[in-house]
Amino acid sequence: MLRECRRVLEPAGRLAVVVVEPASGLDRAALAEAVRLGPSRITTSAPIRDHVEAAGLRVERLEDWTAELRELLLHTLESMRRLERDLRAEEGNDGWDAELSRKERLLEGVEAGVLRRTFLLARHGASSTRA
Amino acid sequence: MDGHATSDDCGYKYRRMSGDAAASIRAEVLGSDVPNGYTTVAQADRIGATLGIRPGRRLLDLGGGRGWPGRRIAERTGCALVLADLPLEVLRAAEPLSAGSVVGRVCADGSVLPFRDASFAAVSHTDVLC
Ligand SMILES: C[S@@+](CC[C@H](N)C(=O)[O-])C[C@H]1O[C@@H](n2cnc3c(N)ncnc32)[C@H](O)[C@@H]1O
Repeated sequence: MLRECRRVLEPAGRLAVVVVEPASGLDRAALAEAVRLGPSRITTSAPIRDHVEAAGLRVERLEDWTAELRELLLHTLESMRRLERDLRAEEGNDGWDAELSRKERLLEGVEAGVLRRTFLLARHGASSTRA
Repeated sequence: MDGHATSDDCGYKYRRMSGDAAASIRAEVLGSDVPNGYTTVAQADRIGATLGIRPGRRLLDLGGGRGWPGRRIAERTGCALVLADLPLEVLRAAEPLSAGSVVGRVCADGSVLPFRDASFAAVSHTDVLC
């Protein structure tokens, strides 16, 4: 997907990626936790920046958006619980349970320090600068 | 990268949390009911600012779902938005929401994009792998 992004970009074009990924420097057990708690298609083979660079893009900026994700999950869970009756009616009981536990697991992963949310800006070009 | 989605499992995700109560939570927490990930309005604005896209230039929002963050960026910058995603039902849902700011909606898999080389000034890719 990232190679295709590079191909369709103009020579001076830029790519913005935001992704929830395993935190850096995890041991095997912590990585397994990240997989258990994170999004279903979480990328574990390497950090997103390595994938972006491998696709021939130059990373210009890397920001950690994990704190914002934590706030957002706390707020979402609070609102979900407040609207539980309406959501159960809309989603069904199984849907409600699944959605609640998905969000709770994500929050658990963030609070345990095994998941992070990364914003990355890259430019067409092969060489790399560390952000 | 590791994960690869099918149109089916992406479509399923949109049938989840698609009612009014769910939309009101997104509006309250993210500032808009369009997103289907974790990107707030303020973050969409930050993405638009760092992409530095100018009016009339083409932005591809890959896996943009109902049009996020592409729609917001197009509204703020005047760029021309092309929205690409897998399930048709999602792209259809984007139409009424995004009228005016979406130049194209394309049903495509991000790993084989049906666009010419060097045809976009910017690409956004938010929470596509989830
Ligand atoms: C969690 S949603 C995020 C949507 C939007 N970018 C946002 O932030 O609200 C993930 C989106 O990526 C799309 N997607 C996943 N894999 C894709 C692929 N291979 N090609 C195109 N779209 C894909 C899904 O259909 C879905 O709309």
